Amino acid sequence: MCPRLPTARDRLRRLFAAALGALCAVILTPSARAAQSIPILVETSASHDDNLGRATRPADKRDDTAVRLAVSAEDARVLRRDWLLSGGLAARGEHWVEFERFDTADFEARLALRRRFGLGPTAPALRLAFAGGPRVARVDDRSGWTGLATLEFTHRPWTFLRYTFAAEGERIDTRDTFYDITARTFSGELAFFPSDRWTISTGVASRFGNVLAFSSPPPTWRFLSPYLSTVPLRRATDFFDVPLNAYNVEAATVEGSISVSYALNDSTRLSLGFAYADTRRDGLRYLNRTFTAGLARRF
Amino acid sequence: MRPSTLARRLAVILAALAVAASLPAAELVLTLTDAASAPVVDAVVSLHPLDAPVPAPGPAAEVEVVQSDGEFQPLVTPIRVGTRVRFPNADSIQHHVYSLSPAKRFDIPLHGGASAPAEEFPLPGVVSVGCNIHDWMRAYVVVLDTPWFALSSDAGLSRLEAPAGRYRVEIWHYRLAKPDAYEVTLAESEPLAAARALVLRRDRRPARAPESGGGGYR
Ligand SMILES: [Cu+2]
Repeated sequence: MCPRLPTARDRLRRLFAAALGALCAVILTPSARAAQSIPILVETSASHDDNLGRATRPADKRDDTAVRLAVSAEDARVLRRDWLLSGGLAARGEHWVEFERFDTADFEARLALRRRFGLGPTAPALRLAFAGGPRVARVDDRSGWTGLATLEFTHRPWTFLRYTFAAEGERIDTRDTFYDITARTFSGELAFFPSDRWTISTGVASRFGNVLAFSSPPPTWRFLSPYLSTVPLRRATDFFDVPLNAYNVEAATVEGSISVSYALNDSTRLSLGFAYADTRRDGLRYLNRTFTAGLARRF
Repeated sequence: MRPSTLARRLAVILAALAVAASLPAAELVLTLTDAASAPVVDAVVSLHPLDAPVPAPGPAAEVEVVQSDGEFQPLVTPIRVGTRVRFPNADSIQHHVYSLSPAKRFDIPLHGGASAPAEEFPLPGVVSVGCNIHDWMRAYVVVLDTPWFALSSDAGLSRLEAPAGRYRVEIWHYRLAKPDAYEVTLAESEPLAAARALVLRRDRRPARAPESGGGGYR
């Protein structure tokens, strides 16, 4: 009998099992240590998207919930008085409860250089960060490499308020170039800290770049016509319960978000968030409402 | 140091010691509570003589504020002017200890397990100490120009022994808008027991709990 070659699905299963095993090992490790070593951050979240496939027609819209698990570790070194270099590793998994063909697992190396103009939390800071690594996707064609570069300005003029401006460049190179993503995002965030436990933050972001949008075949002329001249990329897919065509289109997205978080103790934080994204391209419009509940714990 | 300066300092020290030795010891027992009648921990209570000179400091002492498990230990360290403070790092990660307080400005990056030479604190005042890598870390070194001071216990209790006489009692706490002060007269006969209610502000240090979405070292 011929041994069956492992599929992307098997690999993803193994990765999830390994990640869960690592998480259990980390949780079972006693955390009452006298000396702090490199902290390990474990983040879990559940997120509901009301339009996973970015469909415009109500009949094509599918909602789903993703569960995410991320484990990361970062360390930092003072280069000079105002300069801090940090680096680390992260592993992330994302599983969609109903439409699991969207599942992905990412492994990431991170490097960041921070320049604070002064000392302490109220000093303004500029941060240049790079993150990237391999992606394994349930649909093998979407596996590949991810890369993200971020330039961020942060200032916390008072302990209770912090604002951040960021510019981001993102690139995802996939096995099948159809799924490649290139995007740039400009964003601003305002965070209030009414106490040392509560954080309320609100943000806006403007993104321009590739998005995957799905539509039932054959698309009606009404919905397809704006694409015809500009979008040659179209694929028949089985991501959803019915066959839908995927389009990789360049589109502009404006997103508004609000989140509330509460620190249960010095190492654990609960958060709830809502985001509303409006993506437009040549008269087409995709709307996404996302609710997220998360738990972050530092070990 | 020139011999004449040394002689003058010695004379001052001897005179102060003579004054201190000649006066009988008295005691102040102060209980501190907040608006909810809970004990106030980590307050610094000090006695400043109103009718006698402050005894000159002895040889410079040395104390430690350790970085352990991502926190400074202890949170509050009251010291006499001239005391030297060491900041050893007992963690395996790096810390960057700093102060921007006028009474003592410094910054020392400390690798895991490292210690730097002790810093001298020559001026009276409150020195807020932080870590430039971990914004939640903070400590206070309260530098006093009197030998009579105490840190309030978990029960909010401070016990101070000093020669009988008139004093200004000063109470400092990091959550007080400004130090509380009042006058007392300590007598040799019996300890003076007193209670003081303090109005504490909200503690506004950056949270230690991780930010959702990671965030890294911002
Ligand atoms: Cu630190």
